[in-house]
Amino acid sequence: MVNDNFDVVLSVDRTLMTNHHGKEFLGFMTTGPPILVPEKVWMAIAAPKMEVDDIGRPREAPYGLRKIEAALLDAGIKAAVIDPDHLGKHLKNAKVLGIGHHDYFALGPPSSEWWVLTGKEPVNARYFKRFMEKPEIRAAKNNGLKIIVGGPAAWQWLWMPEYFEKWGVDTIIEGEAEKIIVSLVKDALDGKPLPQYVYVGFKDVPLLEEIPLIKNASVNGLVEIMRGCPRGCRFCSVTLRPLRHYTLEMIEKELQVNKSAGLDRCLLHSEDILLYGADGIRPKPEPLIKLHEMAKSYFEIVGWSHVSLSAVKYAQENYSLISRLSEIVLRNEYDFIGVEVGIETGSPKLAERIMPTKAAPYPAHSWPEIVKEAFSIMHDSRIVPAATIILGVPGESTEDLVKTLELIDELRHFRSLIVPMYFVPMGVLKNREWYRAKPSKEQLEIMKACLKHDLYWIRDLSKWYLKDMNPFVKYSLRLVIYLVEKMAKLFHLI
Amino acid sequence: MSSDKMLQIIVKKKSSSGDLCKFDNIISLFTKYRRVVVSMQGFERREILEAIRPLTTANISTTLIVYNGRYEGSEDYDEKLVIGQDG
Repeated sequence: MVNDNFDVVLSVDRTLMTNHHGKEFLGFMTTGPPILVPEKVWMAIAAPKMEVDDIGRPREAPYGLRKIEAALLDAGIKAAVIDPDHLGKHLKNAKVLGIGHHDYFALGPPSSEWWVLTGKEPVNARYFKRFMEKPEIRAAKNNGLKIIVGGPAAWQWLWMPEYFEKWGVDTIIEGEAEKIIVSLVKDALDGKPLPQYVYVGFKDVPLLEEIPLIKNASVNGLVEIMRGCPRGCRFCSVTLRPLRHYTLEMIEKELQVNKSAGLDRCLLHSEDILLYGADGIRPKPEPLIKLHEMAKSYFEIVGWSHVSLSAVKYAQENYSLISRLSEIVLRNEYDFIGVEVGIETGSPKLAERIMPTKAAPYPAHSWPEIVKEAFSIMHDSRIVPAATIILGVPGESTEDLVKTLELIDELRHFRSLIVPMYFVPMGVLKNREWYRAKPSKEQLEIMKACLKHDLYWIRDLSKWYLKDMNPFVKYSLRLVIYLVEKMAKLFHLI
Repeated sequence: MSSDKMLQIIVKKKSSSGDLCKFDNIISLFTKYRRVVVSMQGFERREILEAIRPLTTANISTTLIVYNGRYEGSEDYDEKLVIGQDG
């Protein structure tokens, strides 16, 4: 008999409590509004319901929620991640509801960009609002439930005081919460007052040995291999965290949790996979090869979250390491590895200013050349980068944008997707109509260039990416791509 | 780099002024401490969020814990600061 009386329930709306049909990249669709199809179809493609057990615990859950669940369980607190459709019976007894999100109100990229371009609220914000309005959450709140919110988008609550008050949120936690959450939850269970806001500083983040290991499966088998990033880019908060490399034993334990749950794949997660076990920002072959061979011994499908382009170039130039890793990971000659990378800009001047060490160990002014070489290496090794470009950083000039446009053009023949991220300065969020801000002519040209690039490659890539998907999703997605292409031609966007 | 010291700040809303205490004026103080515990007295919940906003771009390395109203914790503070008292 399962003890299903949980003091702490952890949950989130459907846009995150899903495995995106096993395709992480489809998760990007939840950052936009439905385009050319009804919302229900859009969500069925991007965020299907999760398989749950008999008490509503999802088979897979977002990794961040799993880490918090693990921290609480390790502390002897009765906690569980519950699917948003099964909250009712658990919230009758629970004293705390913990919520983690990547983009509560669609204020972060790329949601904010979709909002600016279409004037429509993205589905992640819509679903989160509906989640918070659920009668079972409202009823539990009225009965004294404490609501604690966190995750990478915790900062957004500071700009949404009306929702903070309306929904009766008690505490916002910004930063790595695994250590501090235990004392907060204990206070909540003891009826002590909770702080309204917690920012977790450098000395209160968990040390490597204090990071709890997940007890239940994560979405698409995601496992973290390191935390933090040594590159120090000005636009990124990850760089503020201390760098910690998981041991192979820690990683293996989490791989085993996912394997035991019946998952057939794993996704290695880090800000830069190639820096696992590295000497500073120089990748080293031995730890990477051991890591990949271990992951492959558990799963046929092994994916990457992010790599940096300078690490790709260094690893291949010095050790032919990209070729070696792709040989370990790829299943056959038709297979690819998809990974997120950051181009951010094609302007050496802007690169030197906002991300001076992103190119390291190469000089920042050679950034466009590094991007091209890394794309070429990945193309040859059957690795498909989904690359971001950041538009609208403070101080960005027309000359910078022209350089970016030129770089996108030069990447045309490398198998890849390029996604422009429209930077919305926080100060603008004070204005309730912030999403009506319009991109400049040059920024729009870059967005069009990205669309052209992506439509050039997407048919080719979708043959691989969608080949093992259910027919409904496959044909719906093909229809969306077809309609986007037609519209783009009709409006002379490509 | 912050030390292991803890600072308690009590912020009292001035009855004679509509000015909101914003943290951007005192962020530079935080770097000396491992933890800063703030008790904001007399503020609306939304006003506290507004006061905290400057922190989102301040890249602070100190842990900050902000309570709404009087907070009597059991922590031993190394220093104490009171802001915004009338008179």
